[in-house]
Amino acid sequence: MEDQFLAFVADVMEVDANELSLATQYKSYAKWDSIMMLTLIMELEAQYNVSIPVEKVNAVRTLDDLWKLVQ
Amino acid sequence: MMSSTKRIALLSNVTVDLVVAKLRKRYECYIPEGYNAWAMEALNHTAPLYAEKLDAIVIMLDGTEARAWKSYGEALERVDAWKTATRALIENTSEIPVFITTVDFRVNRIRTLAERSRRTELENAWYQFVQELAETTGRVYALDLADAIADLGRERFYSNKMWYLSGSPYSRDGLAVVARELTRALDAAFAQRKKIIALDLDNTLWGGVVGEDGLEGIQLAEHQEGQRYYDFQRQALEMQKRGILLAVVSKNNEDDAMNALENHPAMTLRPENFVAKKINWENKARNLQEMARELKLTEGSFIFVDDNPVEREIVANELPDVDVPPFPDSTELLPFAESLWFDYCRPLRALEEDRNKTQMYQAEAARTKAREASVSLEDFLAKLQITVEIHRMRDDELERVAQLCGKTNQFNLTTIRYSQSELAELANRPDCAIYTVRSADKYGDAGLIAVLILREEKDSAMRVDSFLMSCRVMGRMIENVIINEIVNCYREHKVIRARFIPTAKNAPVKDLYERLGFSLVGEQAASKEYQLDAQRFQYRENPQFKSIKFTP
Repeated sequence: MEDQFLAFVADVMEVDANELSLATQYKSYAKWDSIMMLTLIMELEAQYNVSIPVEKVNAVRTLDDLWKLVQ
Repeated sequence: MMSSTKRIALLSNVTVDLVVAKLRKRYECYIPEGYNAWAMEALNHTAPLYAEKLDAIVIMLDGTEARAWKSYGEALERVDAWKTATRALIENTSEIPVFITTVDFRVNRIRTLAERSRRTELENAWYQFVQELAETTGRVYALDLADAIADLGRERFYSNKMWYLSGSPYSRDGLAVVARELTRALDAAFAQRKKIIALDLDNTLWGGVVGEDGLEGIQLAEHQEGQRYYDFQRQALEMQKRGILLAVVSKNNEDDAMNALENHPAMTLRPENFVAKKINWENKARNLQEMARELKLTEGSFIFVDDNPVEREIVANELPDVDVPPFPDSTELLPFAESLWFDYCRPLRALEEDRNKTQMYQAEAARTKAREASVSLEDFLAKLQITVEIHRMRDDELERVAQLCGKTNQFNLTTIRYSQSELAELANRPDCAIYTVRSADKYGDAGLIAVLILREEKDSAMRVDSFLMSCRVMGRMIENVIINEIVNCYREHKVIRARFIPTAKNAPVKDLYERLGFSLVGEQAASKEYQLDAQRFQYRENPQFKSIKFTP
């Protein structure tokens, strides 16, 4: 499941899945800037059929935080 | 397909970074940084916007902020400010296309039923403004984004969450629509467009198989089930009127198919609407190749539309340059036709010459046959009964002249790409004369096919500044007639000067001036300089032409 999540995120970011892990950090990973954050939120909401509240978005620091939001 | 990545400016009153991210693969974007920076940069002629080397500008204003406007008076002021900034942008730029979207004004909805909304007034006022700019500038294009929003529906187009998170009003689906609409508009200006749609007949232009079901049995009518195909044909005809060529490639008995095309009461596309027909039992890839050769079109200018997946696969495999879109369910033929238009065909505009394109290509095929049956070139030219008319450029010809200056490569002696406004300026100068040439023959009217620009030099000699002719009429000796008449008319100026500037494509005219009796007086790597003694010039009769009319 986590692997699928990471593969999906890698796809959205247009990077190799091997570069990512749940520990990957927002903004320290170059590809994951604020624009990419918005794209990820939109794509994950559609993919996992969830609605992520605004407050939760602002608290995301790692891919693990995002992963918890879509489960 | 584009020669190089085009750079555009995307001006908006909302955050468009997500849109830019979507366009990035096709178009590089410049966006002014900061809230309402678009208007401030547009108004300031020293702004970074104007230092950019841009191929196009898009103004995409969003109507979400209208929610916060307190009165109709305030709304009008805001829209007036948009208009002022837009006018400044037009004044501070030249030549490049400017696309301006329509606006979906999301006005405050907390009002009683008795209160007036003003939403449509605002929408109309903005659209009217854009259309007026389009007409006065000739380079502004309205992009009906509000229409695309209506197609998707506001609830799906907008995302409140994205708006509050980022100042970007679009949902995921909304973003896709914005990117699609912008790409389609920019592609109309910059991408290689398709020229011809090759259509299958059975289950494509009508339902059923004419060879089995007969003329009465096929589905094609102005109502109900048969209307699916009727609507598709009507859309195809609208494209044809705008310069897209249509052709038939069908496995059928020719008699059955022609009978249906000629005689079915609900047939919108008749035989004369098709530039070519291949109705036989041969491989369709071969048929398309042959058609391309006969019409002198590249395989890359074709789209192939066929309901049969096997035929589509054969063509896609054998002719990789031909675009082969998947065929839709028959109830979706109308949107399918729209997508053919928007994604493959739509040009920025269609001129008179484009509207007659089918007849021109049909005439060219007839000429090819006549040439093969002629004993000599003179014999052939005489049989064509060519007429030539040379006169000073009229105002209504300006757009076509600019189009020819912009795209003529082969028969173009100096390849100076004058714009419409530069041409208008030249035409008004006393030391300059722009001549246009129209030609027709017994197969059809080729329209405005050549341009010659003369400028008087300080010593009163005349210089041929530009001389260009559409490749459609090359090889008919029309250039001899033009020079003959012009030189004869400007005899008193004593000397006619001309120049040939070689490019990658104009080799066909590298010896033109020698052939027309000019003497080479100077040669450099980048140009050849010619001269002709006008007073000793011998006026030649051109008996192989049916008529020659020259108006100085």
